[in-house]
Amino acid sequence: MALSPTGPLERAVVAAQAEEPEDWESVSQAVKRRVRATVMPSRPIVVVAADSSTAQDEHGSRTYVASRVVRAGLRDALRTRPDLTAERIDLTIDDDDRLTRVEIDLVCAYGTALPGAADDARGVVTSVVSDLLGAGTRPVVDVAVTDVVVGDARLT
Amino acid sequence: MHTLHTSPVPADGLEPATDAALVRAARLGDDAAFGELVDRHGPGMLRYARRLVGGSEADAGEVVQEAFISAWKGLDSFRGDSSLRTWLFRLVHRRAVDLIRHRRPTPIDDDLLSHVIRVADDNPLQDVMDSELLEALQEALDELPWNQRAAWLLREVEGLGYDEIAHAMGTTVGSVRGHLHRGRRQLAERMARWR
Repeated sequence: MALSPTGPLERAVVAAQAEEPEDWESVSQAVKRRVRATVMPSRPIVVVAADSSTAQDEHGSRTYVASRVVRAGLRDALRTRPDLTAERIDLTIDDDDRLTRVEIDLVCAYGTALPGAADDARGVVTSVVSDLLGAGTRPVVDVAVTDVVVGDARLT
Repeated sequence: MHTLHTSPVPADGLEPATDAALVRAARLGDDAAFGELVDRHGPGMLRYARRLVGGSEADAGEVVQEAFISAWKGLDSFRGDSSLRTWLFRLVHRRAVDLIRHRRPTPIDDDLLSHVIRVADDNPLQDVMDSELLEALQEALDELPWNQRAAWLLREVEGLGYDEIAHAMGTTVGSVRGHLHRGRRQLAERMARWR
């Protein structure tokens, strides 16, 4: 049904479209608080020293890092350059709580040398894992390039 | 030593991240990236929710919060069959239906929620303020059957296409056309009193 340009319904539509909910800021803050408070699935991963020991002292005390923390570290470290970013990060943890495998799906920018990008990503993963889980944590790192995009891979 | 970066968008980024890039980061647990999606799409979702649930800011806020929490927990289920915006409107629509169902003893049904159309029998001044017009619009919307109200809001206020509305409402494009046709006719009749 055609509306008159000056009809009340059309004017109401224009007013409704222009509405900016005054309470949006409080709703936004509430959503973000709840998101941060939402506990995502996570498993503890044991820290392993360079000598492959998990004992942190003479009593055999162990240190654990949540897999959520490791994934966040990998995610951020793989987002420092425009030619690649992670799309999927899967961690395999064995029955002894050791990290044994990291699988990364990468999105790369068009024109990137893919084997080199995969090698770089593998290096980043190795460094992050060593920093967070100790030099004795040496997982297999599989990298798959699953998409190529035009422009900055982090923004596209 | 690696460096941790907390911003979902690189500091030197000159262009905003696309929804796809933010979804990718959020799926990896990046709540800051999800926060950008919240601020990008939330105002429209809140506007839609408020008009849909009868103008209550508290109810609309609750609906939008629940929709976003569902989105955060269910990002892996978003396959890109629709735009992210359409998917988010679908979540708002579902949460609004849940809210109304909990408030009413009967299921959501256009026939049950339909009211008798009031005939315009007064003649207010033409030069009304926007706020008064919006108040009148809300009253008119409240009298519309649920699906007509939802389809009309998504089309006329939020600008979604017919297929997007069908996805958001979980119905067919043909049904959307029917809801829109009837909704426009009834709203025009109800608002005619403001002419």
